[in-house]
Amino acid sequence: MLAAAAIEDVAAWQRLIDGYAPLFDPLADGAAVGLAARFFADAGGARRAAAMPSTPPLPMLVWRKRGGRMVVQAGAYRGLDGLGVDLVFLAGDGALAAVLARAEHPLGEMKRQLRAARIQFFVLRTKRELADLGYEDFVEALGLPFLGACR
Amino acid sequence: MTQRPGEAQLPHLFKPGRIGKFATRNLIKYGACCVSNYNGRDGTVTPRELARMRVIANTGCGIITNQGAYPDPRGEGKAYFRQVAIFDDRFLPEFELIARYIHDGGALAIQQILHAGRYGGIDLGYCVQPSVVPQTLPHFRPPREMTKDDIRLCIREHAEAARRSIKAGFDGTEVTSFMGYLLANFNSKFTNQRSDEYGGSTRNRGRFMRELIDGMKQATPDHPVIIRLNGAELMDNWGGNDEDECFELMGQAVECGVDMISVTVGWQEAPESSIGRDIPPGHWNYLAARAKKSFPGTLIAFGNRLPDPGMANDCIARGEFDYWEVCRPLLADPEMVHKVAEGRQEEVRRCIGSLNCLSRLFRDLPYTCTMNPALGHEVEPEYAVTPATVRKKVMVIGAGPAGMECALTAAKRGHSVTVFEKSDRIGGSLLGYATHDLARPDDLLSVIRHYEVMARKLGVEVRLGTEANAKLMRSLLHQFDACVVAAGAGIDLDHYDRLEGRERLVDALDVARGRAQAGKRVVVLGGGKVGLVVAESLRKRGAEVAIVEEDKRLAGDVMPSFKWRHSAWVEELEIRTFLSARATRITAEGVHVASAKGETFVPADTVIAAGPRKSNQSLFRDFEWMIDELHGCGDALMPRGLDAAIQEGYRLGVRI
Repeated sequence: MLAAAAIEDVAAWQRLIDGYAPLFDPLADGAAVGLAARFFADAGGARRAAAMPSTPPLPMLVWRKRGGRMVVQAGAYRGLDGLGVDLVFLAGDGALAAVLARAEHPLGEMKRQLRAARIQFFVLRTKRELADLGYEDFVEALGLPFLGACR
Repeated sequence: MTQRPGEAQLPHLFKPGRIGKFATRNLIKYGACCVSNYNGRDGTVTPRELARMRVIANTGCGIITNQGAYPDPRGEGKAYFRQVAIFDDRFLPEFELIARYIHDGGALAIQQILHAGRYGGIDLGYCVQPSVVPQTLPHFRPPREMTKDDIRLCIREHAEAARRSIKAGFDGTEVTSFMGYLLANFNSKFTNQRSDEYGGSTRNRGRFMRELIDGMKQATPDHPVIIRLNGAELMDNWGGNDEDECFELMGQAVECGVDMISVTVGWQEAPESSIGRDIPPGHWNYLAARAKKSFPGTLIAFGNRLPDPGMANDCIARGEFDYWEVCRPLLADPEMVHKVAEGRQEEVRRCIGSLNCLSRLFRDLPYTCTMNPALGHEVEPEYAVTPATVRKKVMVIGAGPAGMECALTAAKRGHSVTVFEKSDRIGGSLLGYATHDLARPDDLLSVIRHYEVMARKLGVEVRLGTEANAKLMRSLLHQFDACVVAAGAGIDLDHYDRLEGRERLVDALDVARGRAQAGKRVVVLGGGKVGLVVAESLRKRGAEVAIVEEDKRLAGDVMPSFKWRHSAWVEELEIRTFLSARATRITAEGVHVASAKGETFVPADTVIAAGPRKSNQSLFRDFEWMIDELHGCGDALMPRGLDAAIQEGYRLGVRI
C-alpha cells in the first residue's frame, strides 16, 4: 500500500492511538506529531515541497493532544518547515500499512520500521522543548535516541 | 635505539614512517576520536586538559592528533560544551604547550580542526548546514542554511586555524568529517540538498571539501593536511551516500593533494552501531583496504573498531592501510604502546567498548573511561599512584572488579595485599554478566584476565574458595592493618516477601554463575541489567522467556549507550515483556502477573528473581571492632555496576 493511502485512514489511526492512551498522557495540550509519505521529503523532497507552495497540499496525518486526548486528524504537508508539529515521521510505501495491520502492539511494528529506516523521523523541537512537552515516554517507546546515538 | 622485544614481534607496526617531510618513529597515530570536554566554556585550554595531553603525548605513538578545535568565533562549529577553540591568537600559548609536549614525547604533532556543522552551535539556538535538514537527534540544534558568503568565510576560518596551528608548533593539521560534521554534511546527499554549485552531483557536493583542502594547503604549504572521511556513512537508508560515493569523494580529496586520508565509519545519528563492542574487531577493515587499493599513492590511516595491535600489524603487513589510528584503547591504557613494544601485551588494559566516553559527552559531561579511572584526573595528585608512606598489610574481601582494582592499585603503591574470594574465580558478578553478554563476552572477560595477570605480576595473593566471616577474621586477628569490603551485591529476595510462592524463586545471579539451571519456560522478574542479560541469554539458548518489570521502562539501570541495544535484543529475540507490572503469585505452572490492564497468567517452569539488588554489607558490622582500618567500595556500598566498581576501587587503592 502506498504511504499516502495509509495516511488517509484517519479512523484506523485514531483506534491505534486510543490503544496507547497512557503513553500520551504526559503530553501537554497542543503537542503534535505528523506523519507523511517519505516520497515527499526524500532525496531533496523537503526542499522541493518547501519550494512548491502552489501545488495542492500533500496528505499528512497529525496526532495532536487536545482536551487530554490524542486526536488524529488529516493535515497538509508542505515541507519540513512550518509544519506546526513537534516530530514528523516520513514513511516509505508499505511501512504505515504494516503498522496498521499489526493487531497486537502496532507501535512495536512502528519501532521496527523506524529501526529499519523504512520510516524516517525528524525532530522539529529541541531536546528541552520535547521534554517539557512530555515526549520522553513516547520517544522511548519508539526507540528514538533522545540524547544521542552513542554508538 | 635498541629494538624492544615486542617491536620485533610486530615489526610492521613499529617500523618508521613518513608523512610529507616528517619522519615518524612508528606507524601508530593517536586519533582525536572525540573531544575531552575538559576545557573552558569559552574554548580555552584548561590545566586539566594540559595534564591529560602530557599523558597522551607520552603514549609512544608516531603521530599524535590533538583533539578537534572549532575554528569560528561564533561557535557555529562548536559541538561539545567544553570544546577547545582556535579562532584567535589568544588561544596560542596553550596550543604551543601541547605541541611541545607531543614533540618532547617523540611524536609528530597534528592539530585537528573540527567544525561540527549539523552537530554544532551547542551554545547557540541553531546549527549551520549546507541545507535545512531537520535533526533526527533532539540533542542537536535546529538548522540554518549556509549562504555562499558563509561558505567562503568558513573556508577562510579553517585556513586561519590551520595557519595558527602551525604557528603554535604543530607539524600539520587535520580536518574531520567524522560522524557527520560539517564536511560530511556537504559531502552527503542526505544533508546537502543545495541546487547551486555546492550541491547536486557528487562532484558538486565535494566542492566545499576541495576548496577547504586547497585553502588549508595554501595557508600551510609546507605542512601535511590530513582529512578524515567516511568510508561508510551508514546513512544510506536515510538518503545519504553509499560506499561508492564515499570513495568517489575520497578520490576528490586525493586529487587535491591531501597528505593522508583517515578512513572512518558512521554518523552520530546512523541507525547502526559502528564502534560498540557488539561490532566484531576488524569488521570495517575492508573500507581501509579499499581506500588503500584505490589510492595507493596516498597514506591511509584506519582504526575504527580495530583495538588490537596484533591485528593492526597484520593489516599493515597486508598493505590494507599505512597507519593504525587508535584512540579509545589509549584512553583505556595510555601505556598500551609501550607495553606492546616491551612484549608485555598481556598487561594491556583493553578498551571494552562500553562507550561510557560518548554517553557522557552527549550529556555535556567530560568524558571518562570505565577502564581508566585516572583519565581526566591527571591534574589531580590525589589520583596518582604514589608510593605509600606507610606500607600496610591489606586484606580485600571480594575479587570482583572493585576489590581487584583496589588490591592492584594498593599493591602498586607498595602495600602487601591479600584478596579473599569465596568463589573459585576472580571476577565477582562481572563473570556471570560476561558469560551471558550478547554483545561480545570476550571484552568483559578481558577485564577478568587482566586482573588475573596483574595479581600474579604484582604479587597479590588471591585466596579463592575462602569465605570471609567473623570466624576467619578471628583466625587472622592482627595480621592485617586494613580491610576493604568489596563483597558486591546480591538480589534482594526480601523484595519478594509478600509474593505468594516466593520459595519457588531462583536467584538470577545463581543462574548467571551456573549455580542454578533454568528450564525451558522462564519468567524473569526484573528488567534491569541483571534481568535483561539473563533473559536474553536464556532466550538465545532456546528458552521461552518473559520479563516482568515494575517500572514503566526496561533497562533503567543500564548505561545509556547500551539501553537501545537491550531494547533491540529484546525485540529481535521476541522476549515478551510486561511493564508497570508485578508478579502476584507463583505456582508450579507459572506466574500470575498484574498490571493496570488486569491479570495475566504466564506459564513457566522457572521464575527468576532479578529485581532490586542489595549490598552485601554485613561484614562492615562484623569487622568493625576487629581491624584498625575498615573500608568499603563498589556494589558493597550501593549496587551500581562495573564503572562505579572500578572507579571506586581505584580511588580507595590510591588513598589507603
